[in-house]
Amino acid sequence: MFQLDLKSRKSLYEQVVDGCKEMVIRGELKPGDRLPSIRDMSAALTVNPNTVQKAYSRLESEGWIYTVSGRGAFVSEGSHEPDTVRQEAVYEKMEVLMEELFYLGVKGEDILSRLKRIIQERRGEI
Amino acid sequence: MIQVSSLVKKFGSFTALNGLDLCVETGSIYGLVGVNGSGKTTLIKQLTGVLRPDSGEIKFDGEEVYDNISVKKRTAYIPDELYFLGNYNLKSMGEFYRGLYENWNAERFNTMAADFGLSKTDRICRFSKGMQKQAAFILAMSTMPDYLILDEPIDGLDPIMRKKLWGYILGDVAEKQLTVLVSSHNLRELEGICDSIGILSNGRIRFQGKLDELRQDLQDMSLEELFIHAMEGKEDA
Amino acid sequence: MNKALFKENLKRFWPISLAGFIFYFLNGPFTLLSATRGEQVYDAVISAAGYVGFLILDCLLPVAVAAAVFSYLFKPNSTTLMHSLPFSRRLLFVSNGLSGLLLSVLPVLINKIIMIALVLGGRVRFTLTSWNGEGVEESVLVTMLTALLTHIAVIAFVYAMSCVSAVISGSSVINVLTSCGLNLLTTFVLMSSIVYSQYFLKGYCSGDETMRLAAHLHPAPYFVMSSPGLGYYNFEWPMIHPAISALIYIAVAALIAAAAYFIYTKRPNERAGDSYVFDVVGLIIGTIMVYFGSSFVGFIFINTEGFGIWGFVLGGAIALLIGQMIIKKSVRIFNAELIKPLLLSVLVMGLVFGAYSLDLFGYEKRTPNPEKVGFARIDGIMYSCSGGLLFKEKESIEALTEFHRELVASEDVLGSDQDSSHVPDIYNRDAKRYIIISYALPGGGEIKRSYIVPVSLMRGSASFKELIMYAENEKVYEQLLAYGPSQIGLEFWDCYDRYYGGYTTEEFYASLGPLHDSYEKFSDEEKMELWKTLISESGGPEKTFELACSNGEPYFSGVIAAYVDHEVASPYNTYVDNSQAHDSYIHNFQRIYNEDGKVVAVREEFIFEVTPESEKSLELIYRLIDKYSE
Repeated sequence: MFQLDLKSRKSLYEQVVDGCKEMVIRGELKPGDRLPSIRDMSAALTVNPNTVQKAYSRLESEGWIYTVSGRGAFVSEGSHEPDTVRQEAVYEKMEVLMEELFYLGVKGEDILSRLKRIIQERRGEI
Repeated sequence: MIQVSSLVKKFGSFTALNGLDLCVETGSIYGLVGVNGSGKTTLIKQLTGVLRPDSGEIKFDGEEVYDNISVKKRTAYIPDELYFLGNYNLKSMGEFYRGLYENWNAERFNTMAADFGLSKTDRICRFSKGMQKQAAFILAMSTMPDYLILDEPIDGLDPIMRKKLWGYILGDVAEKQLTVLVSSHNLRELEGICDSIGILSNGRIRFQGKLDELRQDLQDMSLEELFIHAMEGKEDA
Repeated sequence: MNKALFKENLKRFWPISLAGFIFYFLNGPFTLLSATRGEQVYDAVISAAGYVGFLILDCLLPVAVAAAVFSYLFKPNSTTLMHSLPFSRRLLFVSNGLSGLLLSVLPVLINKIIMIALVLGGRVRFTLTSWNGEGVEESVLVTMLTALLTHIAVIAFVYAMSCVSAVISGSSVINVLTSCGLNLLTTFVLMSSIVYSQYFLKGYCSGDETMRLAAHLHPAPYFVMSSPGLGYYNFEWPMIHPAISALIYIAVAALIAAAAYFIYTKRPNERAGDSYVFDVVGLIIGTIMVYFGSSFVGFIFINTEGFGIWGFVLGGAIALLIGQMIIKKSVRIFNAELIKPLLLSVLVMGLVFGAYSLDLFGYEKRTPNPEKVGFARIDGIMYSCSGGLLFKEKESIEALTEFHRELVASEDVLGSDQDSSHVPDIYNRDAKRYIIISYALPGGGEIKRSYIVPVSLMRGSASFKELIMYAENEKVYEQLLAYGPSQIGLEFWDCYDRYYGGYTTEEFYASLGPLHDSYEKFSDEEKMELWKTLISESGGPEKTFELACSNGEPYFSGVIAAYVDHEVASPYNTYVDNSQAHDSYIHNFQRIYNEDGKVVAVREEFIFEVTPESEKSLELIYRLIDKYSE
């Protein structure tokens, strides 16, 4: 399960969407698994059910989950289309940030090693 | 749906509420927000039939609230200052409520008491303030209300209890379309829970609407930022 | 009515009821049970003591119960809870009200039933007294059930008043004080009006209509004073059964409760915790406090040299300030809000004071229209036992009102209650007489005044002379001659002997004493002879006038009371009915009962003074006594 950060710039709704996606990516939710009901999810996260409802709708429209009426929401089979549009937007933000680091006099290799360390800590990959 | 129109309430020469309009959609969680002394409790006491409005209307699903027993049977209220009859314990309060509320759910009552770890035989007046809040909450939720009115609900509760409490409420909102109005000046607590807010100032609701819509216009502000923005805006205007 | 709330109240507050039950039990069944079997007699005296004990509880228990069932009104948090629960105000009032009523009535009900069972079961002997003193007996059961009904009436009345108090008060202390205050209010207001009248109104006679009114305004004093064994005051004419009075009080209690309900629907809950939840009530209570404070201190100092009426101002000011502090629950009362209570207090006390000291209602000068008077009476003009004259005719009543006006106008005449230096002594012939004038008006009302009158004024008053000498009095003496021996009876009464300051001398009394026993033996002619001699020597109206206006000479005498028995159904009956209610009339007219307690005659009495100068009468009396005592 995941936590919500109330202070984050990201809206809660987006956090729920991303949180669910993370769970699927990390394998906590496998294809065919049933997602928590809106009721349980909103209670667990202490968030308005509408928010969960909207998140689930978004996930469904992106193909991450599918709903069976009367039975709930389930993780879809197969690979998921990465959200390239979002990815591009984040890359663009990264570029802006890197510009600022260059401006501050940080060297490219320092940035690289720093990035590696982050990835290692967060994902355990290299 | 809760519909308040042109509500006026005066205390002697002081006008607390001055033609107030408010609307809470069914199944939504409405945050009533305002500075201390803005009249939140006065408004809430009229929503629950304790005080009588000088003029204006308060309707739950089209029915006036005041002296209306059938509406009150579907409404649960947790006030800021709690009161329990005499030396009663949870069990006897439960029996009292059972005689009053048609939809009383004894199973839920027992389950919740156990869940919160409250003794049903100790006198409630001996409970700590937080436990008393929990007791009031259990009694309220066991009446299976259609409307829940909360005045400063989180005073005195630790985060675990708070999460439990909201868990139950959110569950009913999700499953039964429970309509909730919660007043607090602790906006962080309401963050994420409310889907609409109303800002009470100078005897009226100055600002009311769905949070999603408000946020779109105002770049994902937090509730606190939104409140300050709204109040400042009013002072400028 | 909501069953859940009703039951909750019973569950929560039964201890109060139980405490009441125990006190009733100790006062009632316990005293009966603790006696040895068969020896305890439930009679007027014992039942009177128990009755008063019960009545005290009847007044206390409902106050406590009402305060308990409405206790939620006195704190903001409990008010909030109860009014947010699924009740309407009507439901709240009816459920709480009825549960409280039950808790108040149940203890006395159960105890009385126990007592009835004890009496009917032979545990206790019961002697009957009649409810109206006429010897008409009821069954034991009816008497005790009637008593129970009176208790219920008192409880219902006090409870209803306490409900009113609860819905206008905002805190429990104020509620209890107001509860007691409301129940005592009318009594104290009337008592204070008596004090004002005594001081300010010339001619005011205590013991008049005000007392009767006071007894009616609350069932507790009413039933205490009219119960058998306690005084048998008859407050109504014609007399009505206590059960009916009780039912009337219960009906009034229901009306008071309805008023309480109405007030409750208007009660502003936001003011729970204040002293009074309605500003109007605070104003009224504050003014009442000023009235009592002002009057109390005022009358303490009213006779002090140089201080006089400032006592009223001082008392009023203190009561105003303290009252406002209590009502506003703060010591900071010296602001604009003090103006309204101050003005109202000044207005009310001004009216009260003005009304009494200036006699705005014309009390002192009031004399009735002679055409409207049923009969009138003047007492105290004769020196002996019951020196009163009764007048029925219009002309004599005119003379009386004329004399009355003279007394009012004269500065030498004082109101009897105002002259504290004069000890009214109707047997004292010096210089002043204590005179009571009363008029009986149709419809049962009366006007009664008393004055201290110098004899010299009486002597010099033309209207007084006319009054005494009037033909009506002459006719009385003429009529007497028309009665036959079978109707007339004679008794000898000893009287105060002014000269010796005590009862008539032994000699005189001893000599006339045997008249009692011998009279029966007199033959009819002898009786008539004695009768005529007495009448001729009585001197008629002239003698009466002379006696009324004389003063100074040493004097002793006896009095022969002659009486004539009229049949029951006679025009005198209306006078009897009225005379029963007024102490002073009893001598003139009485009902005569036989052994079965039935009224068989109405007795009209006449007084003949027998002095040493009544030579012929005395000679005849002694001769006859001697003749028959051999």
